[in-house]
Amino acid sequence: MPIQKDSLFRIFQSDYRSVLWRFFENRKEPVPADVAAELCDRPTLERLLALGLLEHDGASNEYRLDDRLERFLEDMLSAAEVAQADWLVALLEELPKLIEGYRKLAGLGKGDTFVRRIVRLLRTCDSRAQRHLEEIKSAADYDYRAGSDYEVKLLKLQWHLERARSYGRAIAELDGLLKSHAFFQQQGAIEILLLRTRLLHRCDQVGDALIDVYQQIEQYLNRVMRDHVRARKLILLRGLIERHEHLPTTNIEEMAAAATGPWFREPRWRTLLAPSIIDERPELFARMLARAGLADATRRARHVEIQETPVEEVSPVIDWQDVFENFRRQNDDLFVFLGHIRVEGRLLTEEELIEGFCAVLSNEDWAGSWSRAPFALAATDRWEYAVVKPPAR
Amino acid sequence: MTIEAPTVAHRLFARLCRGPNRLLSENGPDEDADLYRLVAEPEVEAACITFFAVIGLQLQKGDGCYYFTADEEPQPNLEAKLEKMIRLVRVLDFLSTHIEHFGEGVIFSAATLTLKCQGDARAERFLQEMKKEMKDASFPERITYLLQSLVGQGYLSEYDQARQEYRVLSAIHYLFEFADRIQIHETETGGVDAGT
Repeated sequence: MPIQKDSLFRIFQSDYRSVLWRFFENRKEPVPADVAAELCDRPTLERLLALGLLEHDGASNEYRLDDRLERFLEDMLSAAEVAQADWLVALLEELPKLIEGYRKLAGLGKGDTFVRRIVRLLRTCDSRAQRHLEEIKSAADYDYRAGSDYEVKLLKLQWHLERARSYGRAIAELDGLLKSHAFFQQQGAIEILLLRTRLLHRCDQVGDALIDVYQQIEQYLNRVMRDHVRARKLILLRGLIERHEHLPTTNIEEMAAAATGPWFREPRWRTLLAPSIIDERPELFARMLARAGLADATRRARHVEIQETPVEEVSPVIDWQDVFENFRRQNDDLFVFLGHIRVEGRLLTEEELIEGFCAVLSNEDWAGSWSRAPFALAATDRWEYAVVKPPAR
Repeated sequence: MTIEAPTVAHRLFARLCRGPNRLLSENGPDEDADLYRLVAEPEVEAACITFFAVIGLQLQKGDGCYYFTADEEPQPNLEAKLEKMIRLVRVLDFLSTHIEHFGEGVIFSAATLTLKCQGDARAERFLQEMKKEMKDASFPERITYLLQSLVGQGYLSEYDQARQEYRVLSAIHYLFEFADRIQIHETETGGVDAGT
């Protein structure tokens, strides 16, 4: 993972970063003047002193980081938190020594002191095991949410992951010790037996919970990395879009062609017209809207090129409800009436005539009148239709 | 074939097929969160997917959100979709730049966003281009318009109306997924970084 350990030090100006980082690495001991002179040049050292970032002890002629700065950096870099996991490692080192001491002195009647110390250690372990797990979880949660520097976040989360893993290893070691060490097999004191049982149960619990913690931290890491990559990509894309270079240099066009879902949905007119007419015949759709009084009067008509299908072959959109309303206001037979209708300057074709006839017959207003009257059925090669005389005058 | 309608089918259809907000977020307002929880049950989700597929609707599950796509939904032309794609990139870029740690669950205020954007020529240009009809609108009005339109579409919710605070809903992942899938090709001269 491309993380710079000193990325947090970017809060300082560039010529101070490496110097402060070196002083931070050597923070456990004061830095003698001759070593400090190797870490940076004299003017930089003086400037850091003047800014209060370094402290100088005149008596011993030694330098060290300012206390507040050191604490701040430790907190920010979670260095102090990582060190907290050491309690269990130290305990695991001490426990075998105490057991060994007990084994050597038990015969002399001085073993009780060691047993008491072992019991105290096991109790400490029992009370801290769960708390430590909670601390790791809450620190990971906090570091995932706080701050906006992706590199610092990644660094911290990776440390939390390492810390959780080392803790897991230590817990497994404790579990092994409790299960297999001869001391715990032979020891008959009820207190130790109870503590051993409780701790074994605790180790199982912590082990199970740690799996969730690993997964959670890895999930956070993946999210932060994804967010980081996305943020960088968006900045690059912004530049490409502003320079109108986005089409040749990205797959935006392919993605747009295949994109679906709410962001790409166009608001649609609710109409009985087939969707293909609305999509492919904008000029007819515009006329329909104009006829319905919905057209934008201020908008100028624009030419639309229709590809593939020549204009004369495209059938017109006919509002048969409108035809029916006109038919009701006259006295001709329906077929005769339809024979006179002109659409886009021409008479209806035979197919359109039959279609219109059926459309008018299936009109709800008409249905009331022909349901009570007998009618004959006729058929052409493609259409079956009712032959209906118009209502009596 | 007989398919039993899941009990949440009606609520889900009514929620996702009407109005401009067609995304159901896991962390949405109370009713949305409740409906999401019901739908997210594995058996219910499977039953809903099967049921809606019969009527030509695909129930899609994003990262923390649900939405429908229709089998035969007429698509806008490529030019319009391309414009929307660019708008998507610019909106995400604008929000990611000016809202700290922009992502699901983040709460921010319109006033803070306005303060951060003021004086940023790029942000001002973006807001002007987003709504050209609002010629005389002030800078905060333009930001409010943008945020309200995102609320309307289900990507944000109003967290505190009085203080003009907004919360980012999990539906934002639907937009993030598009941004993540964009690839920037390396040019022969190596001028552009790879975008994977």
